[in-house]
Amino acid sequence: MNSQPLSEDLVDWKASEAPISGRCAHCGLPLIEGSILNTDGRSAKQRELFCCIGCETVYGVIQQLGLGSFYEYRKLEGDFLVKPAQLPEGELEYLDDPLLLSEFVERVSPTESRVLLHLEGIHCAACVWLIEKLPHLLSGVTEARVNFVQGTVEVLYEPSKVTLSQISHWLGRLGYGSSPVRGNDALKEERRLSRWELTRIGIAAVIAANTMSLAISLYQGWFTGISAEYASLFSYTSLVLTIPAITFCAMPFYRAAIGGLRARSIHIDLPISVALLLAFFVSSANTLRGSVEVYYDTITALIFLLLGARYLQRRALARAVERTDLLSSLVPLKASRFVSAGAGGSEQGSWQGVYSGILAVGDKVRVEPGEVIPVDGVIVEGGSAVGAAILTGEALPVRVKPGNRVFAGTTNISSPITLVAESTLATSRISRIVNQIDRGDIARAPIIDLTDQLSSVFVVVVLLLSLLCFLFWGWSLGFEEGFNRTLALLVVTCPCALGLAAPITLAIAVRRAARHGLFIRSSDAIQRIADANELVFDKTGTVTEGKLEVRRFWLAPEATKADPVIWDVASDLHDPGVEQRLTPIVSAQVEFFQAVLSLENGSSHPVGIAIRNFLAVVGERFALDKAVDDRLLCEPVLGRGVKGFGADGAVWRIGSSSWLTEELELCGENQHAGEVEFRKEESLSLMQRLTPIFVSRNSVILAGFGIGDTVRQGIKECIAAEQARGTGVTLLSGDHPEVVEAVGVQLGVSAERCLGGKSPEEKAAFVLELGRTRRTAFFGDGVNDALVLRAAGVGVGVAGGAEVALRVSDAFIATPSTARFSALLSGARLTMRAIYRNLFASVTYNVIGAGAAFLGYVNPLVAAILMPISSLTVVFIASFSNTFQEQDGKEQDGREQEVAP
Amino acid sequence: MSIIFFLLPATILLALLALVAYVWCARSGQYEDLDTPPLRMLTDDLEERLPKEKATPNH
Repeated sequence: MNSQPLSEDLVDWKASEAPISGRCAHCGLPLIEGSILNTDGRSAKQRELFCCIGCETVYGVIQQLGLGSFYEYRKLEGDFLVKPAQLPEGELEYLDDPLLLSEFVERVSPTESRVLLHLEGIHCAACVWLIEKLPHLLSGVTEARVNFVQGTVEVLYEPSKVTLSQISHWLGRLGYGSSPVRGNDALKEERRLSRWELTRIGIAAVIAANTMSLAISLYQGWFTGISAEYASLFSYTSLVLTIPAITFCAMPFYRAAIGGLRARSIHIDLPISVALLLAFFVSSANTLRGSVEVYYDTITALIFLLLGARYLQRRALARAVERTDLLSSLVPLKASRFVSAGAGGSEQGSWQGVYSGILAVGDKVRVEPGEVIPVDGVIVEGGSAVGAAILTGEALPVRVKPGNRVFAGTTNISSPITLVAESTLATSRISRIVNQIDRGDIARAPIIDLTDQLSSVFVVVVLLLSLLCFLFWGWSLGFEEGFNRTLALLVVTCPCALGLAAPITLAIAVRRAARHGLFIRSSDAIQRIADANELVFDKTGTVTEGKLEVRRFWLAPEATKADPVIWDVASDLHDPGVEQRLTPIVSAQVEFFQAVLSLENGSSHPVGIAIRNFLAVVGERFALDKAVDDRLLCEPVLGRGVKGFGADGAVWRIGSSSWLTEELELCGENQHAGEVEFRKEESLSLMQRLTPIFVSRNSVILAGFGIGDTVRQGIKECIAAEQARGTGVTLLSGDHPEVVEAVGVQLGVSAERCLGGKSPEEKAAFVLELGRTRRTAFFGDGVNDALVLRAAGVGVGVAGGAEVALRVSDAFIATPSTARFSALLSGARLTMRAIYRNLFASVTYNVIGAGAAFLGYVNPLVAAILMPISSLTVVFIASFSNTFQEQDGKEQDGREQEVAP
Repeated sequence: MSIIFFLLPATILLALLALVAYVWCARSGQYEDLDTPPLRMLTDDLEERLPKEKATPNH
């Protein structure tokens, strides 16, 4: 069952493409030493190299199934990089748990079920093709439909023939990670509404086109004469055609109008509904009387235009992301539970992968490093570091040991832990927060829609005017003329352009914003962002990069054999003088750098990663050897650092200052000379709000690193610009108050506006309180920000953090560069200006139309011409407005800033 | 000119047919994902290169 040999020309073409040989045949990553060579019994020409066993396996599977065209297609596409394949890890049996199936899988018929799977690693058309081959590969799968943009696949399968775990396993074999998405009622409702809307638009379009062609005949008849029988044929046909439009298609307008009245406000749909209904009834009355004063074409065209514009607006909003199921994006579906073999909780037993939803209080759960903790619980075995940023916003991991409580949703970082569940998934803290968000418990101040505001004035003015018109002309020219002019006035002032102005401008602005990575998810977000006079920023991940970095490097006199060297990494980054100053010193420390690199080589702790990244930069700048010393034996010391034993007998330590202090004390008095410098450096580092980490060799302190989170480039300018506009700027974080204050000082935010140590609930309360007097906008990225994102006047999510931020925010910045922050703010303001311009244009038109109608110049023909012209004007203004366009330039500015200091 | 009494219903009937087709499309969800189908089209010709016999998974 080997693969069909590739056609000869393609093989040649591949062989001639030399650079490819340096890349993994599956994922295209550059190959390094130790790559895997796959000959696979095929001709020498076709030997392929792989970066890892995963890619090799996936490649083999794809070729074996005869789907090798996947790679050919990808080459045609320009062979861009794929993520290295991730083979399915461990057992997937937990996916067949009955509880999981009942929550995630939908029965569509007695034999078939449907499940929505979120895919990882889908990146091009070839992936779509490959995944949709699933029914050919696995019997029992009836259909697989990929949604490329959302990265999901909807699988229709027969549960009697194939299980969910088998489907997931096969997707894994093809190189795509998958996880089921919970059956989402909101999504189904959205889909249902959207289908109804499309149906309405289609019907309205057909009716509008037909009544218009009939109307043209009627208008023509005015000039050339038309026999009464044809005139009445056309009128009656139009009347019958218009009935579905005015009833079924226009239903949303009536609903909104009545809804507005119930809420004691005048919605723009009220004057629209009144004008449409009035025009329809008078036209039908005229038809029955045998008069040709009919407005059917205008009515139907208006209904079609308004429905279309609103659909476009809704469609442009990035609602799709709501599809992602919030809880399962935060807490893993799979947990490792202890199942005792004997009865009565005996110690004998085994670990089993189960669905985390079935975990009960008292269950023993094991969490491996790198995994997310599935339930709240108390640790009974093992100590580790836990990244709790998801709940607290704190960048540094917290040390935990037996007896400590850990929460679902936080990440176990360094070593395996066993915990006893204190909650179920449903009663965990994270799930309570998620529920609060889903239920929308936090109500925000309603926004007064500009259009509605205008329309209430509008309604009063139009009603007064038509009364005046009817009385004046009815008295002077008789009832008939008075009535006709009043009707013309009402039809011509139907606020169609007014109703179109905001949706069209918004739809266009939102589309443009999306092209630049700014996703606007609710229709009033733009107005709220433009109006905000109080910006609240989360610290970690929003104004800072959210990852630890070496900010300060210190070499002790013991290392340099002279004066200590201090390198302020952040400010010296682009200073060429540094190179001159440091090169001789650094090159004298080759042994030191190699030892530190070897010590931190395998570390998954954020501090270790920060030091490793720093060493990579140093290695690059000072051309150091980057080889790792294998002879150095490393031993991680929990919560303190790493200890290493060199081949020459030297003992290396790298870790917290308290740990090294203990070590120094053990060594006795001969270290006093070094200790003064060590203490001085420790306090200097702390003063800069950095975490000091030191390196010692045989208990002699050699160097120190100051570790901190970096502030995003350009955020200072962005904040200064906002402050100059009179906008208040506040930093709000769950991190330690001193750290928040230090960042605030750097950014020019005054100390009393830097609030640290806040829990998610406290943050939300603060923003709600602020929102009582000010219009707030909140920028944040973490789960700990989810409540605040809802509480603020407008919540802007920033990518890079948790998916939850994306789901609950009103707007979303997909690539978190500072240029995007300002682009969003200025784009929103420009859009509002465009909407104002548009509203002004439509009001002007209405004034002119009303004047003309008052003076008796408006008949159905004039109305039929004026109405589309006014609507087109609005569309024209909207599409030529400069909303979210300026940022092209700004974006480049941002890039330049990144390159040059 | 009395042909118009036949032509008018005929045009409306034609429009109705088109409308029925459209409504069927809309209700079957064909307009929901406008981004993936264009990609599917690009890989159509790969089908021809597929081996004739279907691979049977030994799972």
